[in-house]
Amino acid sequence: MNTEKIKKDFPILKRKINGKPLAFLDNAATTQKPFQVINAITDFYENHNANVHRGKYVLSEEASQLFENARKIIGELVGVTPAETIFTRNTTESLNVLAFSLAQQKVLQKDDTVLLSHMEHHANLVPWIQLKEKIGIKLGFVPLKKNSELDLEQLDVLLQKKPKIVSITHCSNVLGTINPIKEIARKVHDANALLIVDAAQSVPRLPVNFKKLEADFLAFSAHKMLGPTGIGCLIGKKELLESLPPFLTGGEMIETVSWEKATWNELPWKFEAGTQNIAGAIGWKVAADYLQKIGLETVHHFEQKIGKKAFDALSAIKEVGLYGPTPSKKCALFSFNLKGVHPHDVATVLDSEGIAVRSGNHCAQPLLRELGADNSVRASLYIYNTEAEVERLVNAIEKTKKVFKV
Amino acid sequence: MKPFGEENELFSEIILHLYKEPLNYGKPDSFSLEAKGGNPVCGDKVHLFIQLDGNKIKSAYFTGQGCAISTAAASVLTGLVKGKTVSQVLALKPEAVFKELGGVIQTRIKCATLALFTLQKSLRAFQEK
Repeated sequence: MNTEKIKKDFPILKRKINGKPLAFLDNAATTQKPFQVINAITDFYENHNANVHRGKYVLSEEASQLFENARKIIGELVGVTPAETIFTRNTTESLNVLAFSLAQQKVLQKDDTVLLSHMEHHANLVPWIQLKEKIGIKLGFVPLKKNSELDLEQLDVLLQKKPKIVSITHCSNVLGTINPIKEIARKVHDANALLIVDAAQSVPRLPVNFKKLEADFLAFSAHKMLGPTGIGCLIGKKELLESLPPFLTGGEMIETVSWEKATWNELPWKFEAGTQNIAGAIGWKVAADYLQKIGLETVHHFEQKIGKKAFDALSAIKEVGLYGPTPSKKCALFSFNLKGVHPHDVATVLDSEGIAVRSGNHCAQPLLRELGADNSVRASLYIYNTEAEVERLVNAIEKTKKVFKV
Repeated sequence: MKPFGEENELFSEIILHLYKEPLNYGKPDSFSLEAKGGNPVCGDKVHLFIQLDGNKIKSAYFTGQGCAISTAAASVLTGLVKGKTVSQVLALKPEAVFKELGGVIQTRIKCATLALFTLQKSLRAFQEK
């Protein structure tokens, strides 16, 4: 894998910020887009734009084929069929759709338990809080061990209470921890519960096969894996998706409509009401091709290698407090605090050096509180980041220490 | 006054100093009104305590957790409003705070205005009562 060559595919990485070359280290929030993805979106609007599955004319036919081919490629990326690949706006919407459909179908009812973990993003917490308030479900949480991994012994204990649903992140956006989903899936299924996996951070950087993971549902977004914003998907076992009612209704998702009654289209269209993000799907397909060409196993190895370097370099700064597990158990994502300096102020000094990092609570307020911090700085790396950029990060932290006289 | 510090100056000496040694920090024993505000995206929180003497602000204190800029801004604001009438405080422009801070960089305007906007919102509600 040639990072310097990959870098050249990303027009934005030629930019200078505050006179310095951009080092984009906020990839857990969103990734940059290669020109191949940008061109595919432009090409669609310039040459093939029409609504899909509607018109009996050439353009509509072309748009439909491009859109459905995109679905096929995204599905193949995680080893499922197009019928099991439902387009949504993003991971958050996928999880909301799922939570509310499960409640509507009465899979979840009053006093049923949904088991989450202490490392969930708000996207995999707030929809369930909503169901708690609306229909009276109960929430349970798998705690973390001191080493920032999930406490699987506690999972066993919590599963004895017979939750209906377990919904857990594959890879934490705050700690970087990669959870052993397959092992969790077996435990969950032994307890006759369903497993939902938030794969927003894992699909971009690990080989993820839905069937091998043995999950029941999986959600992820395009924009965290080189694709455009505004499109994501919900993957589910076919028989489960068939049993669930649609959450949104309207165009495309219907089979027949009379004044008083409507029947639903087949999967996957049943869940896709209204005109979809067609250009987004086409751009996403090219992003998936781009990652497949590199190979997700290769991406994972790359992150392990650069992640170890970053971990060692950051650990060597004695004023830096790092959160998360040892590098071999995580992706190349580092949340930390610099003693005596607020994360926003760290981010401002880093920005002055052209380094873009996230500061704040990372949409995981309860987890940050568990860690005893309201905020942290987060540097998250991806395929176009270099060891030289890790060095620049370290130097910029040293500069921050000087500015704040730490 | 532009909302920028000197070129290449990310944090003025005033900001760095007031971050380490904030003024008017702490909860007073008595106060006429309090104002709570925060920025949910970043987690900054500010809690202001105002003692009124008629229509004038006799004293102002604050507590909270925040970055260097929001902490320093709360410090200068609590100083600025002392002796002013409620209407004068409502007419205060963010630039007055930026000036006292010795300049604020563009990307951090939100931090610098948190205390001011929190106080103005609560004074407006107080006036309408």
